[in-house]
Amino acid sequence: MIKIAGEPFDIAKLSDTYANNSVEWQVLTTMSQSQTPYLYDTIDLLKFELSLRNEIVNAALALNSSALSFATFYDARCNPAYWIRTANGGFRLREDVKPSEAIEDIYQHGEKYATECATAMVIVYYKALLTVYGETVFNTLFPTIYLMNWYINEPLLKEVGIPQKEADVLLGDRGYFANPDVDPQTPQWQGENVIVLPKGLYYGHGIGIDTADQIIGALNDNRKPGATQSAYFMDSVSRPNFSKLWDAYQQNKPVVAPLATLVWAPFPQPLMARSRA
Amino acid sequence: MDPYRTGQHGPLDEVRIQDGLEACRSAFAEAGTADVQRAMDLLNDPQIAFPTLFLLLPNIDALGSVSKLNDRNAQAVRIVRQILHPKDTDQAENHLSAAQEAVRPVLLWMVQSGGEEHRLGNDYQKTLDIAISVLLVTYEEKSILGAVDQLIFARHKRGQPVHDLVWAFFRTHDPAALKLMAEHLQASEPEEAELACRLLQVDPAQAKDAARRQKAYTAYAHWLHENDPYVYFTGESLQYASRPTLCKVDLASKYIQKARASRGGETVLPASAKEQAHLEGFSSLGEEEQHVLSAFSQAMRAQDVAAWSTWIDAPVDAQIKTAKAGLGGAR
Repeated sequence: MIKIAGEPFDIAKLSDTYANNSVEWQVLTTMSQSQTPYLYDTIDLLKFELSLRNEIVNAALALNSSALSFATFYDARCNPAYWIRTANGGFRLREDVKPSEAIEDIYQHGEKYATECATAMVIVYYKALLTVYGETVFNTLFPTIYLMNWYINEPLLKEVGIPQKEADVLLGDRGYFANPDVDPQTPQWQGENVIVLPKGLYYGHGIGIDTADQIIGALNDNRKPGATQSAYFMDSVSRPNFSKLWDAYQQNKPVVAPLATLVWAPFPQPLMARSRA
Repeated sequence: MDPYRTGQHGPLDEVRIQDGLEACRSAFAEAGTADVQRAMDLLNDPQIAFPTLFLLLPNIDALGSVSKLNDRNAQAVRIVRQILHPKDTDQAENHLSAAQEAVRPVLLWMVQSGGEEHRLGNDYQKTLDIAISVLLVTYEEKSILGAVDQLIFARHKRGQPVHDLVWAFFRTHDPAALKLMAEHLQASEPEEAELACRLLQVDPAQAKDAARRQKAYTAYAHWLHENDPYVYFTGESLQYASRPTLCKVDLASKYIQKARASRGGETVLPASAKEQAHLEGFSSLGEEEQHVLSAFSQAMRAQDVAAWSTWIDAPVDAQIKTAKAGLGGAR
């Protein structure tokens, strides 16, 4: 069920706004059919969440298509034109570059980057927010960025590192496949962070876009000898605090000046006519 | 006596420690130019530390002297190459796949002699971390827990990777790991206490001053002492969450006052039919009431086993009433 300002909301009111097979419509359908109420102060907040979820999915698809490589923190690399590689394998934004350009560079020049699956998720979130916010607001709200798994010192995004049990798993949520019997020689296969995509698919950096069974199969192929426990999808997901992100946008979006009315002065008389007079 | 345990350093180690990495390379290269056998004798010194062997690997290759290494060093080189170039390793020669008693002392030597060197770069840290991971998880070598705990915080202080170390440390599913980590809650440096707070699910505000850090440590130590038999490890890690819940109390085990059979994974309680009936009632309760009942059960049994036996046999509703009255309604 969806409630806006305390009142039940019929998603049919948005049927002309979103195509049937769109991410937004699928999320709306899941929410409206849920026993758990999804509460919004305004319809604009609901639309913002739908838009951001759509862009999280798009950002995940785009990152999968980029040339970004997988690497553990020991072997992580980034483009020094935009990022400083820290000693622990994280990427710290340079002070003399625009945050928006640095995030875009990961997508445009992925061959210069390599990182692990959790950091890739955070990159997805920043890209999605860049698309929804636009460059000006994004650069205002995120002047410093540090990409290092779930170590997020950015208050606007900290919820993405805190999985919770939710009534429904929605498109754009961040999930996790755990691999309890991982081979200790390859601890990077201890699990896979994923973005929930349409059609029962998931994006996980290092594995790609696959079904749950395929991701579990990939993880199971990297277990210790004599393993008995299969990898599995954990029952908690994380999602941004959409309300907080919406408020931040409202407080920082560019102000559009009201249109002014032009007052035309009468045309002057032709010179020849004035001289004859 | 373990022939690989050394309390002192070899001559090449002294150069590495006192004069630096380049000086050590130069000293070995000069020795190799003058007398290859003498150079190899220095390398095969029983007191040599793993970081020196690792540092000099390119020089050893240049001398064409890998075959002149002693058994321990040769095995260590094979392990390093397997870790750093896994695709070049024949699976039939996997030195880390399962417990091999010939490999354990070599791994121990690598870790025990290698933890303090921090200047050798990412490949060295990766090698050490995988050695630690295999020792802790495959070999269940708990003797290195203290050293790994120290390494985590030393690396964290230098801003170096701790991700895989933390995973391996808690993958032991040993409450001793929690005790070691808890000591850092009362560290003099706030950053050290903050990491401990993050990993032990303690409010990070507790790290802000010395008085709060001491209080946080005392509270955690008390909690761990009370709940040790019932603590289990969730498998969460820094790959999963910013503040992973590394361990939890199995409230059902605490409720029927039976130590957990396993420290990880699903609960498999060796319950009688009567205990099973109690647990069914317990599992139908909300989390708040489960906390109340399990805490009361522990407190009551510690005071009076006979009274506890009577109480635990009562219907769950009656148990809750007694517990809430006994605890003043608080958890």
